[in-house]
Amino acid sequence: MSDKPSIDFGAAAAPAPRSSGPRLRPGKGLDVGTANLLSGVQDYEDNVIIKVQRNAFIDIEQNDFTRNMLTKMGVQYVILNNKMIVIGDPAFDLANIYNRETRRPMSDGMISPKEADALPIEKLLVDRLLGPPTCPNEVCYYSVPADPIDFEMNVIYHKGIFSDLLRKLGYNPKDILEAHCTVFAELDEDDFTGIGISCGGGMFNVCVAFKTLPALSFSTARGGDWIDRNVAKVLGIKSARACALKEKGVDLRNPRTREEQAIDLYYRELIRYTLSEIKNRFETSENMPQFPDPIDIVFAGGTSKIGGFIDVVRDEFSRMKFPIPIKEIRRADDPLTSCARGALVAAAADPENPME
Amino acid sequence: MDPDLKREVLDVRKVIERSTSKVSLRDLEKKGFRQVKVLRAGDINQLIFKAVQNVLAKAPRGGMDEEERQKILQEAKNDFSRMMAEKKDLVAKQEQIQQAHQNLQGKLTQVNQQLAAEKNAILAERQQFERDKQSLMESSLQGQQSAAANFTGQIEDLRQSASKAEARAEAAEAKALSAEGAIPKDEYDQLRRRMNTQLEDAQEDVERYRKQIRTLEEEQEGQIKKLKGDKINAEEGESRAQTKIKTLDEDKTRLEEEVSRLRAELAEASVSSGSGGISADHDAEFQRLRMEMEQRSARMQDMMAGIANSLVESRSDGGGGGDFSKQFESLQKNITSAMRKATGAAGGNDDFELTVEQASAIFAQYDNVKLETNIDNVDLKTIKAKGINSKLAKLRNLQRGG
Ligand SMILES: Nc1ncnc2c1ncn2[C@@H]1O[C@H](COP(=O)(O)OP(=O)(O)O)[C@@H](O)[C@H]1O
Repeated sequence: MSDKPSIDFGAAAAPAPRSSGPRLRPGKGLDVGTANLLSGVQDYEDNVIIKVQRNAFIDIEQNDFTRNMLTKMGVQYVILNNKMIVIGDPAFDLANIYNRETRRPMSDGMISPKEADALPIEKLLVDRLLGPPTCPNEVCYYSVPADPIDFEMNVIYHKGIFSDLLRKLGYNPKDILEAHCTVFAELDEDDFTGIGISCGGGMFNVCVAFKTLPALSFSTARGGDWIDRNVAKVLGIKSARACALKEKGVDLRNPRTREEQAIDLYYRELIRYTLSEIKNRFETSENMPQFPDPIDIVFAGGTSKIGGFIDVVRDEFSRMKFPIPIKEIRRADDPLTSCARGALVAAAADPENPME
Repeated sequence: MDPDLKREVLDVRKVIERSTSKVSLRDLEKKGFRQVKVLRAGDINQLIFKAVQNVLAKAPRGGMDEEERQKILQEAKNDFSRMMAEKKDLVAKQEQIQQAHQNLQGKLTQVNQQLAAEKNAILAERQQFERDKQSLMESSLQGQQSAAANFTGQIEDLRQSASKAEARAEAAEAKALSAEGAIPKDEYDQLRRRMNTQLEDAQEDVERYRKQIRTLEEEQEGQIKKLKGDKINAEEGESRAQTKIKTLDEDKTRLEEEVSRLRAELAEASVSSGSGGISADHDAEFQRLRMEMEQRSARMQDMMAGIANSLVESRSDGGGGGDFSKQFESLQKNITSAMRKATGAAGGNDDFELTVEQASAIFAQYDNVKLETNIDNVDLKTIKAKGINSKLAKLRNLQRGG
């Protein structure tokens, strides 16, 4: 994701032949996020290669000039129903320039039944991210949201779309909870025991795991978009603009402007809400495992990238009586790629995945 | 120069010309003139003009005074600039009207295209609906027939069993009767008792078979009734869908009428180029029209999607041999909910509740669509991340129960 919302008019992207990079091990991970789609693969030198595609688009006037211009500028587009649809980060830039909202194939973490253009675009994006399987029946884990506690959604539709899509690409598709991916990616030192929280655009996903197995998982409909929406509302600006402000590099420990204060306010509210929901679940769930030792809480996802995030979490955490002892609260080293890496771990370890 | 004044001057010149006589140069020389001062006609004119002006200026009553002159001059100037402004205005208005005209034409084309596209979509959707309905009906008929044949076969079997049992009973009776008297009494009684139990058994069998036949017949009747009911339900649902399509059609006709009305207005507007306020009115009208069209097409899309879904569903349930009442039920339910959504009735959740099969069926329509895109020509953002081998080793170890 770009830190500065700008279109680089200078850099002409050379046409990229479909990747013929290093030889890859079988097994792929796909992070199906509201804001970003990421794929994760492994080569034979213990490198993980992550590809990122911003999951947003905007439609603009179509003509030959823009078509050529966009390709020269390295901006992806699709012509669909006679509309020119710009995909990815530049959609955000264009939204900022035109003071419009971007369109999202997914809302609240799920493929949106209301975005009629979403399906073919999503198909294209996934195809481009994953490429063909390296061997027949290669396992691909794709992330799905956990059952939400604060809104209704149809995960089946979502799962159906993606498993169908992956199957048609030649993969053996398997779904995995988004926060379970966080556990696979970040809690190996603790035998995959602890609490993983994935802080995405559309939602937050929580997974409490005991020795790799999810014991409790749920999601909430509040995430980065929720912050954008609310900040936009109080400041009287568009969400895309609020998002750009937020991603520009705010430090929650030291909000300097009215805008940053608004962002801080909603971040705190979001964190408080999430922690207290986990607490509630711990207190009301019956079959929670007994953790012999204190556990870690680890955060991942783009929304956790803001400066001072963990400080605010610790601050809010200290104000509540949490039902189990916590050893450490930390953020994933690379929060954006965590889910894709976790899904990749799950895929590579799956007994159905063809061994090389 | 003021044209009136000029005329006066010319008149004066004429007077002068008439009152002078021509003398030849030779005669002048004879009279001792060596040099002659020559006054050109233009100079004379100038002089006379000045003189006249002076006279006019000095004569208090004879001509206009300076103030009056200035006033008249000013009026003339004002008149002139008013005329210029008017002309400019007129040109601008003409341009405006031309622009409005062009805008309207563009919008009309757009609306027309939209209409045509919608018309085609409805047509295609309806044809598909008809085809699907046909195959659904056919498969239901087949099912009904095979179910009936099945029942009939069972009943026939039971009938045969019953008559066999009856025959057995009769045979036993006959045996008992024929044996009477031919054998010793106690032996006969024993035989009789045995025959009687056999007879009772056989009669019980018959009774049981009869009962089974009755229940089967009742069941069959019920089943047929239900199938008929289902069919009626489905037909009702379908006729409601047809009605909806009809109202949409009517909507469209109304819209088309409105378009032609607008077109007429447009034509009129371009004729009476004087009125400047038309473009705003038309814009508002078009805005409204566009909005209405968008709303309606959104609703229609919802409904079409709903109907398509119900068809997808009934198809994927496997036409023929399946549970038809279930098929009809789901068709019914889906059409109802599609209607509800389309008509905007309260209480509707506007997300589709799609199953995996539906999702896949819906996706199928994009399978062969070739989109124009440069997506393959643009590099994706790629990140190299830390390896996962140690994680994998740990995980495999745990999975093995380590
Ligand atoms: N540097 C940043 N600071 C704050 N928020 C960020 C930053 N970078 C990304 N985000 C936010 O993270 C969210 C996307 O995170 P991501 O993990 O990709 O979500 P998803 O899993 O839903 O795709 C967006 O709301 C985005 O605005």
